[in-house]
Amino acid sequence: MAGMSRYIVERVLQTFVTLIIILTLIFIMFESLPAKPQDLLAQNPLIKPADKEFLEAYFGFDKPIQERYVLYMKHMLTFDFGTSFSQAEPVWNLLQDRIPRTLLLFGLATIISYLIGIYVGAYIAWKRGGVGDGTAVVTSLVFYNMPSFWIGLIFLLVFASQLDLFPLTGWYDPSVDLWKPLNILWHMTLPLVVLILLNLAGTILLMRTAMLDIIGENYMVTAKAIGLPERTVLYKHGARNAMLPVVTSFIISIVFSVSGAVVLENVFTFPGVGALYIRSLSQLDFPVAEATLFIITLLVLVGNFFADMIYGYLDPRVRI
Amino acid sequence: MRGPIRTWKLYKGSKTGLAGLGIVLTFFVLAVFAPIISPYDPDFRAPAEDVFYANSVELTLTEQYNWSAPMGLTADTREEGLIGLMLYSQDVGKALIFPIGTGVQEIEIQDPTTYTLPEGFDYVEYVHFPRVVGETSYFLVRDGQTVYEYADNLIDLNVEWDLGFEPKYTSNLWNGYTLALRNSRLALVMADEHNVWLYDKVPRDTLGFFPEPRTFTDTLEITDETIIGNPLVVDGDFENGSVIIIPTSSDLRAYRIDVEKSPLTGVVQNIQLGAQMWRKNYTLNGNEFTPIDSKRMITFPYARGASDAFGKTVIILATTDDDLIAYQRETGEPLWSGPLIMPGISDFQIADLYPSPAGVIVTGKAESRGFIAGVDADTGSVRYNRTMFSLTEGYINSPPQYVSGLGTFIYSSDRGIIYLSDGLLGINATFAAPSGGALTPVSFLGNIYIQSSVTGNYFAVVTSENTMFVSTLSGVNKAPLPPGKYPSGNRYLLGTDYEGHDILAWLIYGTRSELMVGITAAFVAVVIGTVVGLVAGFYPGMIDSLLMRATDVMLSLPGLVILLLFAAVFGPSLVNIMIIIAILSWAGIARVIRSVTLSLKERAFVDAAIIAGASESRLIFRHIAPNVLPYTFLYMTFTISGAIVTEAILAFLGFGDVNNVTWGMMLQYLQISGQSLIAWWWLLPPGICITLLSMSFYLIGRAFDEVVNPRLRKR
Repeated sequence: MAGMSRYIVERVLQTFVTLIIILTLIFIMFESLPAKPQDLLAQNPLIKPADKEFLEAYFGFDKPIQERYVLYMKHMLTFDFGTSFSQAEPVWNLLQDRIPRTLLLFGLATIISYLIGIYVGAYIAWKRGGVGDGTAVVTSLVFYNMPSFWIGLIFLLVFASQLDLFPLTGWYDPSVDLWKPLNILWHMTLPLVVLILLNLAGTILLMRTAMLDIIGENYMVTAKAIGLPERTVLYKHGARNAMLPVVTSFIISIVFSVSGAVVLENVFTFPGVGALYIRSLSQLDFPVAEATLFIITLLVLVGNFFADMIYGYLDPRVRI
Repeated sequence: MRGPIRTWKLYKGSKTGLAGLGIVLTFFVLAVFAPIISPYDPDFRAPAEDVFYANSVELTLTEQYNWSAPMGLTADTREEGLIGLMLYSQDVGKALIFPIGTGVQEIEIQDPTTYTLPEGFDYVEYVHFPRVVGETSYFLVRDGQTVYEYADNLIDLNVEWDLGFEPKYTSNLWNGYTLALRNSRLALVMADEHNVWLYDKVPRDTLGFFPEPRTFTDTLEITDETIIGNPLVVDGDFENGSVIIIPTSSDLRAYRIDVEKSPLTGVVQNIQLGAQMWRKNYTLNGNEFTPIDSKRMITFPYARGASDAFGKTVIILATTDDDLIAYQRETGEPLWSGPLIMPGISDFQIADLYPSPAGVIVTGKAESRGFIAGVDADTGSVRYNRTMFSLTEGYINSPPQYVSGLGTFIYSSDRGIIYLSDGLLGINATFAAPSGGALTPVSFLGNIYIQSSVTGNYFAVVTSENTMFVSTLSGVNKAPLPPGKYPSGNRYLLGTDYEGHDILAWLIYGTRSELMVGITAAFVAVVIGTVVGLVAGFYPGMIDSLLMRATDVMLSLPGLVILLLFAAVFGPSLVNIMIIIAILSWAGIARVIRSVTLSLKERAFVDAAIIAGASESRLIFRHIAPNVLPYTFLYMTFTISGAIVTEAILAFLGFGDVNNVTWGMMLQYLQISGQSLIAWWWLLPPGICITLLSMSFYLIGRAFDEVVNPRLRKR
């Protein structure tokens, strides 16, 4: 496995370089925002000039741009996110509860949708041309092209408002007499199901295509010919190999999934990182927006890194 | 590359591809012919009669008497709303009080309680004091020579006064009890031909010497002349000469209201009618005139704004020659005089004068019709020389009541018609009350509290079929309207949004911006992607690895999240949205084009071209690019598909372009209107259209993919 460790080192370095580039891009973007947070200070008549100077120095607005860039990089890479503008609280306090929530929502949705998607995709490719295949493909196509927030709104309308089965907002309701994990799950059901449906559509379509490529291969024909059970041929010989491109596409699908999570957190008022990001962006709360954006980017990069690892493990050729 | 005919033949094999193409073409037709197809303009709004709904109720009165105009009863417990409605009938000495509940959607008027009042009474006034002063509400009732003060239950008698004469004239009730003006009081004057009775109520003093409100009364006899009209109470604060103005048969005279206060504490000790301040004969510039034959011959304008609430410096009198004369309050000096001029109307007769925040309102008869005019209290002209007057069917029989929240006046005519006028007295709305029209003058009640957040301005009348009709003035917004046909005759096939825009019209016009955003963004993206891919594929080494590194970074960006930041930086316009979608979508295309270029470079025809001495640019543009184009087109369809959804998400999260109708904006408006859990007709169509259009481009892409990649076709 010597090749594997070199491959890991390479990928780590690559991920780190990408992270630095993205962080720099984020810095440039925030620097070029037309509205500056200082403007908010200037508008508030309750803030005295002395306080204003103190705050500007505290948040580093008085320093030249290159110095701010270095400070920003240092802060981001050491997870020292500073203080929120709008809430006078360390950014970590805002983030620490939200990160696990988003991870849970996003992680559960990704894992469940991949497990179901690979299974269903392989199966419908095997039974291609049938009614099940047609239905699954059309349903996937529809969900694949649906705006995530819209399905979210429909689920809210039907299951939360009309049928009153699930709560409309939130993450946990202490007033409901329910074991805490169940209570949380009950609140998470709707966003989770919507996110799974969205991710599932892409995975099923991809897996089906990959599987169709494999089915015609000689070894598949051989496996069938020597009388192996259909299940073995389908899952052991077929699906396993077809998974390679699906894992590759994880890079794109993780971005898709994270975007979906950000949007859905807003629709379901789920107190996660995505909802915090949108709020801080509209409030010009730079430290919070930068920190949340950093966390989300990190999530995507780490996800990609693991996808690369799995890929390297599954396909020895890439390690060379 | 095959010819277009062969491509089409191959494409035709895909049913989903054909469906996608069909849907896309349909949307193109909708976009191009939007003005013809759409039932309404995007700017169209459903007319008020569809969107507004006047919350009203009609109650049958069990007994038929000569009912008074309804009165609204305010109480301490509900700051903003009314607690009851009262009707009374002098015929039988009865009063009915209808309690008002807090309805959820509709006003809720409960069954009335009947009270017995002194038989033959001819004056009832309901007085309400704000809670903070510690006072409550009570009724003043007069019967013959006696005035009664009842508690607010109309049962407990607080005080009664025997006036010793039977009043014929009653002044305005000056109620200065407001939160802002605590140092004020309530004053009322009653009079017959020669006697004047002053009733004055003072709130409890804040020092606590008198924990209850106190009443002072005083009388005055005028022996030399006969009183001919309602006196006018022009109250000031305790220092600032309050006066009562009394019109007699030969002059207008003013008496001071004397307030005696403790010099030490400032607490009011006594209030009485004081000395005569001035009297003015009915002559002006040596000419004699006659005041109009009406109890309401004099009035004063309400001050504009609360600060000079006491500063009523002008008293206005109307004459039988249709002149108006303004007197200074303190001295009685005439300020101005002149005829009431209403352009185009020559033959008219002034009937009554009313105070109003818009100056002074003059009503009367103009030939067979009634008129109402607003007069500027400073100059005497019909204000602004604009439509400060209107003609009405029948004569106005109710004091024009000003609805401050709406800036309108409400009044009724003796033909049972109710009028709503704007602040300049141009008539906004004319309507008959149901059940044969209004029998009594209309009364403006004030606010009635309803749980569904609608605290409207309500009015009430008794109709000629013995019912009481209570209704809102402004109406309640009914939009978003569900699909259907509405009173205006308009049919909204997909309903309307919160502002009354037709959903179908917006859907159709929205097609234009969707196609524009999708196609432009995708075009820019594929141009960048193709160029990057071609260059990277053609020049291996430094250039290739640099470009591919950039592509990797772009691909691992959390796209939508960055997109939101971009949108915040560049500002939410449709052009910016297209550009940023393009910037974030080229990377995937570049990758594909690069690998296609790489494989093309190995093909024999490229080698042949190189041997033939083709230049680099000729190689790229003449030999490789044409073979790359099908892939470019293929990824363009996928990018359009993605761009349409992305635009919707951006718009929904509040980063959309408010100046354009897009499906995403429709959903954003739905979300911020708070109707997303109710208005399914507003929620479903934009989402379905986004999905359909996005999916159709995707389907075209898939079908075309099979044409471009023959390997896929076998399946």
